[in-house]
Amino acid sequence: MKDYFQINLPDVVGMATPLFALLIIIEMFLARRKNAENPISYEAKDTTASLLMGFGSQIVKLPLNLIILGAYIFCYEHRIFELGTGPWVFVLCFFLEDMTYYWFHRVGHERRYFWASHIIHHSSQYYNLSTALRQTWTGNLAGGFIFWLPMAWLGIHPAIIFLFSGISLVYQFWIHTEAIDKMGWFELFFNTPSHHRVHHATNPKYLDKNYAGVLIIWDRMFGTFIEEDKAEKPDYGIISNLGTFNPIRIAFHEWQGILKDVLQAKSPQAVLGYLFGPPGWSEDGSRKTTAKIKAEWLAAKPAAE
Amino acid sequence: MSLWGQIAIDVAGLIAICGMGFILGFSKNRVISEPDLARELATREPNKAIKKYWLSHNKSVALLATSDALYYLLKSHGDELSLREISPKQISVNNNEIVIDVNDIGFPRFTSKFAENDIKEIVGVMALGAAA
Repeated sequence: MKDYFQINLPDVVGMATPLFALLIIIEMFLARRKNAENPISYEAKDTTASLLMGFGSQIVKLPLNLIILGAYIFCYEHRIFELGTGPWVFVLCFFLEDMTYYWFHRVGHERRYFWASHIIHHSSQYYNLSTALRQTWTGNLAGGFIFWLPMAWLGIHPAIIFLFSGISLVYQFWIHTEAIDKMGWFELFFNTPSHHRVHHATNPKYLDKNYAGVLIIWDRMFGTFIEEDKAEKPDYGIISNLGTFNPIRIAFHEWQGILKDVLQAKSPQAVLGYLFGPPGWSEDGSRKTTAKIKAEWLAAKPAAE
Repeated sequence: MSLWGQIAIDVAGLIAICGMGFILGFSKNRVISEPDLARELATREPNKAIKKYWLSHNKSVALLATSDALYYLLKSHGDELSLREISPKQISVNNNEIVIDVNDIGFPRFTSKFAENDIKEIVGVMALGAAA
């Protein structure tokens, strides 16, 4: 492994875990006073499912860590630039990691193969801090980590990439709340609870928007930004909401859906469509993709107003 | 800290938070009301209208038939609702129970009691729907 562990950087996720627990408990107490002014909402079975998904994701990735680390090391060994580990590399890594996250996240919503893993995070109909911990069990197994490999290939030390991935994950915890309203100028540059509420909403207007990790600038740059509209309360969850709190069912339901569709596909093109087309794509066009949902919503809008 | 130590702490935290959720009374079972039916359908299918509906005895499940002969299942899920389009083939009758077989792991098979008259009505309408 040569010098790959010479940089001793903190495990920010491990350090933040007790804080996660404390903040969830505080938010639960706030949710007891739910009213028109305080929309915070908890459901014990839903929270249990979310925490089991989070715990499971940590366990599942243990056997994969060696393979993933090997892939990073291989890319870093074949790096294009000698960037070193100076302060400016940390600054560069922060921006590159955050942009990488944006595209990973966007692909995770727009291609069913990756959506099958990411859908887990959106499967709760609640939006509270426990939802942040509802993490995929299959993301790395499905190859989600490959999005970050080019950074190592460019010459950023894997330990620095892991540090900023961890910081991004920790940052994204606190934005999963209805307890915080809009945050003024902060909203211009950073991902906030308001921006991320929109991202978790299934309202046609809000679908597939605000993919940001830490900085909202990527959504503003790449045309996926939308402001939370006070007149349209987010409706959280997924298009076909689950009818179960069972973690195993939550973890694998979309994979089962893909398998079923692929086995029934009538052509190789359809197999590719079911795997890499947008979620909701079907051979006969009978199902609804985000584009179709938005088109129907736009068509119905003038009549409704 | 060792890996097992970290896992033990995570498990303890998980049990504490989940226990707190139940103690604070956040375990709910939504009772479906009539306004819920139209609101939920309008959210998911803005161009459809309910022609007929049936509510289960405990008001945790509803079946909706739309004017274009499609059927939807509305089920309470904690304090929220979950809506699925279903086909008449996914419904069967077992004495005075309706068995709904949604056939995907995200929405498990379950049974629900409807009023006896409702069952006959549901089956009748479903048969017509299937024939149509």
